Amino acid sequence: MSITGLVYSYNGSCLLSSDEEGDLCLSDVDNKYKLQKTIAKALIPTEKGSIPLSISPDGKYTVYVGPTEFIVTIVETNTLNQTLRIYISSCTYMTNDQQTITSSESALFARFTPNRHLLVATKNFKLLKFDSYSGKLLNIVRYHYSFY
Amino acid sequence: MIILFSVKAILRLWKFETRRCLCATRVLNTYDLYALDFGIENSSSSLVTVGHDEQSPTVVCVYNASNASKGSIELISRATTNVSITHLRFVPYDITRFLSISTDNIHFWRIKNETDLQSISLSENQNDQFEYTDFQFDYLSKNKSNELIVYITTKTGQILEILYDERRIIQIHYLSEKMTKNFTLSTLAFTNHFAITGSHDGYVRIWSTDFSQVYIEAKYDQSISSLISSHDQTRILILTESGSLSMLNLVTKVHMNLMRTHTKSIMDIDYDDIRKQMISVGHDGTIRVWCFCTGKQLSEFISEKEIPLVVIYTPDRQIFACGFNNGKIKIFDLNTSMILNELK
Repeated sequence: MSITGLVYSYNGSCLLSSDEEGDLCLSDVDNKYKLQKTIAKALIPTEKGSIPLSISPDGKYTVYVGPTEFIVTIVETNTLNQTLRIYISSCTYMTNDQQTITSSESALFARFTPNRHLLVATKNFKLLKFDSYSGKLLNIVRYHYSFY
Repeated sequence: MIILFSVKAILRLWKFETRRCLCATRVLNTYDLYALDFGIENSSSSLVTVGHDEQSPTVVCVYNASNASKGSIELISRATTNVSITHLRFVPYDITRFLSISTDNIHFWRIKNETDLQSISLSENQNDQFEYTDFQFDYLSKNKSNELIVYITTKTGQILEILYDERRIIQIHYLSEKMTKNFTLSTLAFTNHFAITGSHDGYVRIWSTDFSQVYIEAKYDQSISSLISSHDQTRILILTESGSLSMLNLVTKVHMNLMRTHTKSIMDIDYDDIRKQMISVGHDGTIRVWCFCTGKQLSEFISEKEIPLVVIYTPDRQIFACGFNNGKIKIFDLNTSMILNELK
């Protein structure tokens, strides 16, 4: 079964890995990479070529899409303890000019930004931006074909 | 002008100097193309391609490429045949004749009445034990008649000399015996003064044209897939199966590596901003470390039975972890190139 993602914690003391079936494993680097914890089917099965795990700039947190494609989960890299779950199946965002943008769809992958926002790419060509501390939706960016 | 081809049987003509694609043509009723050659005679030029059709017999197409610089090529002739072909080349300075080989056959082709393709095979009596790997044309300089000779390399380390006009073997050079070990010849090239062979075990050897003597022997990390001599006959381009491109100067004997590449899709990369290095892993089973200031490959790890899919540096950039398609994760030390750990 293929390995799909690898992430080291910020001090290099543990290694997170994910496989094709979405299982997430935590290994202790200082203890000969001994397996510490496993969460079965934590991630959605990944599409070929997309990297499913993303680590926060300070290395303390890791984000992935799972256990379903409508949930984005943030865990502590060192312990795999969940700190936040964002349900993205129905997001509504009010723009400054009082327009509402709604998004009801599934996620492809999630990435931390350098300033600890969270970007989630969706199957419907949208980018959802969240505050990664609170899980608050900050923006919905639509992909416009007419740009190209 | 150079020409590229792809699995969708599309021919693309490129202007070498400007790196622009002049034209793209779909080769009809063919689902892949795997060999071609460009022939020049006076001011005319031709292009021959080989592919498979859907039932998988071989399809040979000949194009008029005289107007290629204006962006057009024109199909002259097309033939479907059961002859298998791995290599084909036009006879030097003759765009109506070409030669093809496969492991077990040699065919002499000609275009009659401008459009009819005909072929005749080399009568196989004394030579049917050979498996052919590549060939080159050369003019026999020893006799003054300037006869065209075909040199064919074999899997068992021989080179057959065939007199083109008479389609008969005139000499067999047993190179394996001269080197006191067996090797598979994979390709060869000629200059005015040398014959250059490439073999499956990664050796490039520079011979006298009668194959009596070896002047230079160079070992590469992988099987030699192609050798091309420069127009001025002083340099040889060397291509290996692992995707490296090198140049050997026959005069100064200086060797230079020009390029290394993954030979299949790249699956993942990771950066080391401090040392300006990068690691890439690919479907070709290699893990490669690059310097991104010079673009040079610094080191290479080859896994034979498993495919590396993801790669990541440790935060201190001294070690990296690599995940494979069989579920293994291996931990590599960059300073010693050792595998420190293997997890499953």
